[in-house]
Amino acid sequence: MLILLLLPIWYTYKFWIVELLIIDKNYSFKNAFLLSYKMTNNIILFSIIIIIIILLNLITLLLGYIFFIFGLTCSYLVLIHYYRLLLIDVSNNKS
Amino acid sequence: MSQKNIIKKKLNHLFHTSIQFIKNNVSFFFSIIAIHLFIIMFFILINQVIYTYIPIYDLKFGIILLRFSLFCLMTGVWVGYFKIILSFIDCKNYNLTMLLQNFNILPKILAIRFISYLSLVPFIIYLLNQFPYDINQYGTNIEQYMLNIFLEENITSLFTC
Repeated sequence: MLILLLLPIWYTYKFWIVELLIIDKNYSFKNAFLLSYKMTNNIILFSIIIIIIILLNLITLLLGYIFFIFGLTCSYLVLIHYYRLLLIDVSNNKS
Repeated sequence: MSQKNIIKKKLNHLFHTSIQFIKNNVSFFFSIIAIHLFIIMFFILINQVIYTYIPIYDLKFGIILLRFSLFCLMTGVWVGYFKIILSFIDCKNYNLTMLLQNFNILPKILAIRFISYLSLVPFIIYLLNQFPYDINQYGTNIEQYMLNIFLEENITSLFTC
């Protein structure tokens, strides 16, 4: 069963940015998938960020609803900012 | 420089600049939190009303269409919310109507969600093979089916072939 879970996990790791690329830049499917694949090379950094975010959200969850929403908003902010940094990196590598 | 140091440096930069964004525009940041609170409370209320008055898990075309419409509404609003966060990062102005102005990219987002669900197909086939889905018991309540598997069935049987 664990092997069967590898496909969605791999998909999430490689293409978590696709939706953000479409929301932010309105890219076509093909371009969004290709760019996302290029941008998600550093899986270790992404994993560490996700672990930190999960821990932060678990702590805020214990503090109550308002704090949880505060933590969740911070998480979105950090993730979207990380996406922007990756986009800048890819743009710099192209030029 | 070792990879560990590079990762540490990047993490520091990411969290430091994120905090700087918040410090530079505190009022906008609290507006984002307020909008987030509003969105979640709005959908909790809608869910509460629907679950109380409508048999939402019945296998009927109208009910399935209602669920799909609600899913589209939620996704469209989240797209608008992410646009507001992107405006915050870009230090641009925002407008509350942005929440409802980005439904034009909804078909693309739904298609991407569909592809992501496709990646789950082998896993779902395995689950259905191991634990047959009783349509009379669950209707379209897939969440209940999954919950029952993880709570009632022997969880170790999932990991053994």
